[in-house]
Amino acid sequence: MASLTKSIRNSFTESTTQRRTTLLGLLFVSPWLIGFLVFTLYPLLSSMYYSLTRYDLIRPPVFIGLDNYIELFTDDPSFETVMRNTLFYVGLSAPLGVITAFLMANLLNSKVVGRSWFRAIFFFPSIIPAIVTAAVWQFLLNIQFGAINGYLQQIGAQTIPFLSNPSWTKPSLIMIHVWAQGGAVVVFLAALQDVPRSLYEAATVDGANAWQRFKSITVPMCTPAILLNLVTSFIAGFQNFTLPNQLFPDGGPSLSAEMYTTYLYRNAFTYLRMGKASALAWLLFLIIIFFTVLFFRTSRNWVHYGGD
Amino acid sequence: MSKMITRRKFLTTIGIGAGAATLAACAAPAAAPTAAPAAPKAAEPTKAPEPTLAPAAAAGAPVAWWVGWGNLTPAIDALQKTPEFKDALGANTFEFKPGVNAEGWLTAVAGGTPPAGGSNMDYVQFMAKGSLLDIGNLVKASSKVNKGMFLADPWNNGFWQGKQYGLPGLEAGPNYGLNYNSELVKAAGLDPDKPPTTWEDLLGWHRKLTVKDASGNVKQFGLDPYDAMAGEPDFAATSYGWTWYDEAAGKHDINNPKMVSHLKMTSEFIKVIGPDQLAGLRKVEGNGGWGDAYNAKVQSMIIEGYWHPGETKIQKPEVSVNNRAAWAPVPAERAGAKIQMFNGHYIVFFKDGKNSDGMFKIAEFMSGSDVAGDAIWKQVGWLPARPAYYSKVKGNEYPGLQFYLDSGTQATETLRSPRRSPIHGFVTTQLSEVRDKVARGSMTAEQAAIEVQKRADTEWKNQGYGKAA
Repeated sequence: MASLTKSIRNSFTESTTQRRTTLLGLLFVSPWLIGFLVFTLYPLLSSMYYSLTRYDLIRPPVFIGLDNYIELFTDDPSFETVMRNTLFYVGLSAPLGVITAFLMANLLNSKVVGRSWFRAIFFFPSIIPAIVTAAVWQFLLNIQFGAINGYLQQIGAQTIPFLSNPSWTKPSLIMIHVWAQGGAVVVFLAALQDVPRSLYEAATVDGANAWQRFKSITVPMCTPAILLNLVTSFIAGFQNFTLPNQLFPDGGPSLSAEMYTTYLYRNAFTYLRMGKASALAWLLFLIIIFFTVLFFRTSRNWVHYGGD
Repeated sequence: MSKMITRRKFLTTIGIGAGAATLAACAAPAAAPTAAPAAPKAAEPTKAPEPTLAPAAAAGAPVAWWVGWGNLTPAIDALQKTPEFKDALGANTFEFKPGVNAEGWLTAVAGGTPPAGGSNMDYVQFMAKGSLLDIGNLVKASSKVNKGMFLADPWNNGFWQGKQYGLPGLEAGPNYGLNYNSELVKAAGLDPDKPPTTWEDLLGWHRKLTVKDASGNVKQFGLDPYDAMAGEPDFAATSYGWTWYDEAAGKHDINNPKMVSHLKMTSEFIKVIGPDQLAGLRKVEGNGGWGDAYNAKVQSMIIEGYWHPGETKIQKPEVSVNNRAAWAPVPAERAGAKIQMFNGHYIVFFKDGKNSDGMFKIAEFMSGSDVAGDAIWKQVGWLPARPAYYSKVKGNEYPGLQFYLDSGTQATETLRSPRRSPIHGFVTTQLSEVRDKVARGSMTAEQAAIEVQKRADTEWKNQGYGKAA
């Protein structure tokens, strides 16, 4: 206690130079600090408050306690549909995307002719804006005018209602997600290049074939990168907005493509339920936290860090 | 004393400079110079000051008018050059912004920066939430607009709970009619002089007008039963003969046998086209928007208002020559009923908008002047809400128009108060979901009606409008 008192007293008696240094430090950090307070912390706390209110953005918010949260679980049939849609999409798109990216990275890591060219091609979808991606896939997948169905019709095959049948809308979104895995491929390529050559050489000397080397060396050595991509894919999947919103602005046939974030947006800006939308946002935060913690907890059993 | 600048001093100077620049950038801008130096107008003898509920704006202040759609732009561009418009504007400057979407309106109102005037929007939502200006006193004091000049229903629907919020300043007229392409009708072996009047007969036309290729692609179809005006719950209710929203009681009647019949009937139309094919067709540019498929000659029939003949003539004259209009369908058990609804688009005034007085003068001009009426009629195809102007219009000017001009006196049933539910948009969205399920067979029409009733009651309560019906 005495040392604390002494420390506080010292802070008042610090030299002018020290005070000036502190002030300068605060001055330099102030743009970020102000930005954080105004554009992050304040909206964050506001949305928490709004989630406990009936608020339409026009009239003052009215405090209603947990009613918005209770409504979601007891009085909102669309929420159940939206949760099912989102979990289906995230549950399949994240692992499929990671597996595809990992396999592509392995192919691109092998010594093939034109490797750099292939890497650029596979990365390309990742840098295309989602709006453009949506427009391109719209033209590819339309049941009547789409290129894929046009080809299917030419060979006399049955057309596939990718974007116009409730059974196909989510698989189509997953397919588009899997197509754009360039970012994850880059992470895996970096991880693959970090795997020591000596491990492969030793395994080869021991008689391990290609599959055994892949299964016992490549995969375990890349598990930190797999964890990273899996967690970020899950988070991005829950937050996926632009693509479903562009392809299915009305939620898709029978609301089959309404995702969590598009439903949140619809509540906020179409139905003017900003309080409920805020509750949805906080619930999404909790869902994401739950899955992230789950991944990190289980990762102890399957992720191998260097030096383990 | 050393004249060398130290690294510390250099960084300090830069830091202070940057901080000052940031603060300067964040500071409130200096008052913008007014558009024109004291215009001669200001010196002219002025009328007695009109009562206003908004702070009076200084001469030369901007008047901002936002509209939700884009097709008014050519008329406004032309009008701005007329002396009448300049007279209404006075020393003010005019800021016209077309194509404002729902999010644009909402964020502007929520942020406290709405325009002075707004049009082509969800009026009732803003009336009910109290963000609009009561213009009753301005109207009473006006020498240019009064109740007697306007069609009764569009005038009355500018009121909410006894207060006037909207001036029927853009357009108004009969909203229901079955428009059909007589060329396509003839090609299908049907008689364009004997249009169907019941849903049952219309379904027969729809079947004959729907053409698919060998692969099942829809090349042409009869009627999308939810396109344009047909997509509104008001239309379903008027056609089938019940009231889905009781404004006085604040109650919705959606779980009604007539709604069930309507859902069953319209699902038959969708089945003929194919739900997947219709959804796919609607996603294509040129076939997706309001009336697009009709202009593309893919859709042969459409339920639209009086504006359809004019808009089609202006946008697609080659399609317009074959346009005809007749009574919108009713179910067979109501054969003989001739339904109509008169409504229009308003100019409303936001409480937080700047220069409401200036905007009101523009609204007076738009509502009451034939110069404005002519520009909009010729360039957009919309009629002003004034019966006096209707008497000037020739029925053969736009193919199909005569039906609408006659319908006012011939209708046997007229919906007086459309789009009055503050959760009208919510209900329409829910109906859009369940009708797709009914057409696909994943839900019965009865289940759909019960479900939407339940959702509407819950939403009504949760939006704070009172207890559910």
